[in-house]
Amino acid sequence: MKKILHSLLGCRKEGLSLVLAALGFTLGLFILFAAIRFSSDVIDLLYPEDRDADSRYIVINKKVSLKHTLGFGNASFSQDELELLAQQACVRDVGKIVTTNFGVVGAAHMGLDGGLESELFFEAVDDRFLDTHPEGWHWQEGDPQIPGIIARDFLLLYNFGFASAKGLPQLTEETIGLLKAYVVCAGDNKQMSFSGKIVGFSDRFSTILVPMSFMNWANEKIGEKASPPVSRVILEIESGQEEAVQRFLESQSYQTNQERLPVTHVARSLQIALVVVCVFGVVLILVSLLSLVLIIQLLISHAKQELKLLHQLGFDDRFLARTYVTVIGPVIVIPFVLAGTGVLVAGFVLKQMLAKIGYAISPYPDLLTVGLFMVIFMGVVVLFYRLITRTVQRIQ
Amino acid sequence: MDITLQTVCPSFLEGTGSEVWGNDVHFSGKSVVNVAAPSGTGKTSFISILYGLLLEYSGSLLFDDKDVASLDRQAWAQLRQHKLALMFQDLRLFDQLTCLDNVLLKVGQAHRMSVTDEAFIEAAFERLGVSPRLQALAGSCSQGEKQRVAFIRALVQPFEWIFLDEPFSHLDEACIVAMRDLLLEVCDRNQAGMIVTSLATDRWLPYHRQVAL
Repeated sequence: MKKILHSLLGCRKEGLSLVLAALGFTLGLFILFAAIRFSSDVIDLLYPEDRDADSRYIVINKKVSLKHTLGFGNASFSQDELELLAQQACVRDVGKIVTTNFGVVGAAHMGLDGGLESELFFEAVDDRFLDTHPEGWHWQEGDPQIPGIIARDFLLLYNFGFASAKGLPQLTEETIGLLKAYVVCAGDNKQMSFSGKIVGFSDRFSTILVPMSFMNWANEKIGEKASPPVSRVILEIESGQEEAVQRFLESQSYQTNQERLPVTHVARSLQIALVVVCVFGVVLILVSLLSLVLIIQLLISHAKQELKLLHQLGFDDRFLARTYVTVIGPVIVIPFVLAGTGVLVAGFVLKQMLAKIGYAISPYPDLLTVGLFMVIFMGVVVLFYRLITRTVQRIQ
Repeated sequence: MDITLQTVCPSFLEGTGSEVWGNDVHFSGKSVVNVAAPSGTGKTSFISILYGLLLEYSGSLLFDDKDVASLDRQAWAQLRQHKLALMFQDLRLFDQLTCLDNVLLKVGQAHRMSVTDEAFIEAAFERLGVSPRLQALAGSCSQGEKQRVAFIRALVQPFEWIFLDEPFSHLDEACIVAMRDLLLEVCDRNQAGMIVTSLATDRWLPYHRQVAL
């Protein structure tokens, strides 16, 4: 009987337009949800260090000018200047980057005959400004070994700039811990040796960091003179306040050595692009939904006489509406299934592709995307069910 | 199911007055009733009121003791599936469907098609001499053929009352006899009553009651 009803109600007449509208609907859903789903990944890739963070860190220093070169004063921060920094609304926290007041020489043995020896520099900062808190990151008086955190860039520099040129073995983040390094700290009157171990890597600091406890102790015991002035400062800034920070830094002639602030322009353009894509998706969805509504109304009004007679013969409205629901239902549900699968598959494919160039993203969509998807799905299903039922009922 | 009309009169016949219009009339279940009246006196209106197609009338119509004014579209649909059958005077077949599909559509709405239904439909087409037209589009059939298909469509559903609006007009005697026999068999099986309209007093069926409009 279903077959008879379908041919009677002309359900197959609008087949092509239904398929086209469903295609548009699928495409719109895919564009919208792909944009929503991958927007968080894009932000993550731009700010790899601040995943889920609502604040970010930048390291600033004073501009070095000719007068500093000629030895008139140095480019360090006074106490007043540090306080002024801390008072800024866009700045959450200010941390001094402390340097040594003595010389450091490091040596490492690589393999049987290779090795390097070099003058080094140490810096220290409060632990709360670190982007990594590796195991073994502590030092107390009497420890013969100094833990160190080096900039991840240094490892790249060594592996690709230095090791290959000198014929030294390349190191990974894991094997570098096995490297035996010796550190000699030499003050004016005193000299002490330690072993050194690299325990972690930082993307935030382009330096060699040692624990603050060692720095304070060594400056006092080995350097035996006043701590050198603070010439570099790390700022924790409010996310979204990058422009205010930029203006303040410019007004004070401070420099930041990191590319973090210019990135905000990229991020902003990207966000605008994402919004444009979302709007495009929404428009596509609305247009295809509108054409679906029109097709359904056309179908039902074409079959007006038949519906009237069917009602006279004792078919109830809900039964007749259900006949349309079975025809229209797939046109609504299949686009959701296709678009959902498409976004999922795109997640896995993109994860594979990005993994090859060293970025990691989650292959699964986040809860917000899934939630929004379900809400829109339910909304559209309910909307169309009621539209069909009402339109059929209105035919007397 | 008893049918009771209390001073029922359609708006366009207001003030005419007859045995039915404006009077109290009662048909007890399983009665066989003939409504005979000349054209234009409201035979089709009478049937339409009973079947719920015409709702603009004064007075009230009761099925058993229930006033039909309380029924909604849904309830009328249920009644037409299970308790009331109707053969329209103007037949109202779907011209774009075959004769068989026209009938099957009616069977399928109340319950799933069974072997008995199939056998009954084939036998009915055979007995009324329209079996060659089973697969023909209703639109291509003659008036007489359509009349018999519409008649079979009215019979295939379960019912307690069947209303037939001038079912035998323009048909030859042999055909009327075949229809009558089939109708009596089905009504007997269903324990159902029937109301048949005709232009003049009808002699084909064993009427319990003759009503004039």
